[in-house]
Amino acid sequence: MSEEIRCLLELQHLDYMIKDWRNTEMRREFQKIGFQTAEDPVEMLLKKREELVKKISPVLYQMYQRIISRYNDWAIVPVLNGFCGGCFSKVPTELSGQRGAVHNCPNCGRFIYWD
Amino acid sequence: MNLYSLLKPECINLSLSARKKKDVLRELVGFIRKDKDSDLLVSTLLKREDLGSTGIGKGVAIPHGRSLVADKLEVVVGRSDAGVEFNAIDKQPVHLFFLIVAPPQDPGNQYLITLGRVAVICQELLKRKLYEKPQTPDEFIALVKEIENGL
Repeated sequence: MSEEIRCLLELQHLDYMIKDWRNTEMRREFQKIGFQTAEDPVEMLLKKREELVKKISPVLYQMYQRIISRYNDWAIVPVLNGFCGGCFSKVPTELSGQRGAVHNCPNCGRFIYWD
Repeated sequence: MNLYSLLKPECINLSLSARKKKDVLRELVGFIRKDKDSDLLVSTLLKREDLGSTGIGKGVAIPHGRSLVADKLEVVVGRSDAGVEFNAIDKQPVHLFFLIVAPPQDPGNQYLITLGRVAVICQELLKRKLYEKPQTPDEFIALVKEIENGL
């Protein structure tokens, strides 16, 4: 897995976390369970996000944002048995020969990586 | 929803060897993923810990996170007799861990429901330190089942 792919995956995981902490129901349940946070968790996560974004090329980051806003679920997905983990269409076999590079699914445009 | 039905003997370790936060997360994650993706999951869990420890006191921690590396909701149980320094809210070592990992989108928000369920069961397991009794993963599952049937 390339460093770029790893950063995009970390970004996606961070965005899931931000989404959860922005969700009032989730936050209420977290507090009920007894999880305590030092500061505003969303603010803390956004700071971490800013730091992470600095490690990603602007072109890739713009693509990430565009894909997220389009699908509202995930921007980067694994290739599972030769199929895109986002739209489930067949990924051309020639792409699998360049696994270290950043690729997009030719059908849905999501970033794809090989597990 | 029953917690015991989510527990698998192969995902229960009643003698954790790690003594520090990062190491114990790595040890627990190892029951879900053993490949390079496990580092990504550990990194996500550590980011969550940075917000505030998931050690909720009285020797219990419930680390949790959503991750693409999980294709379904996974629960891993770990017990440490020696205790792990986990920066819990009461600053006491943690002896019982429930790691919960869910895919980003799970139907019916099972992730949240499971978190709540684990918190309730932990309260019962803490009574008379019941969690210390099981000697095998199967006994642990049986204990959780017994508790849930009595709720």
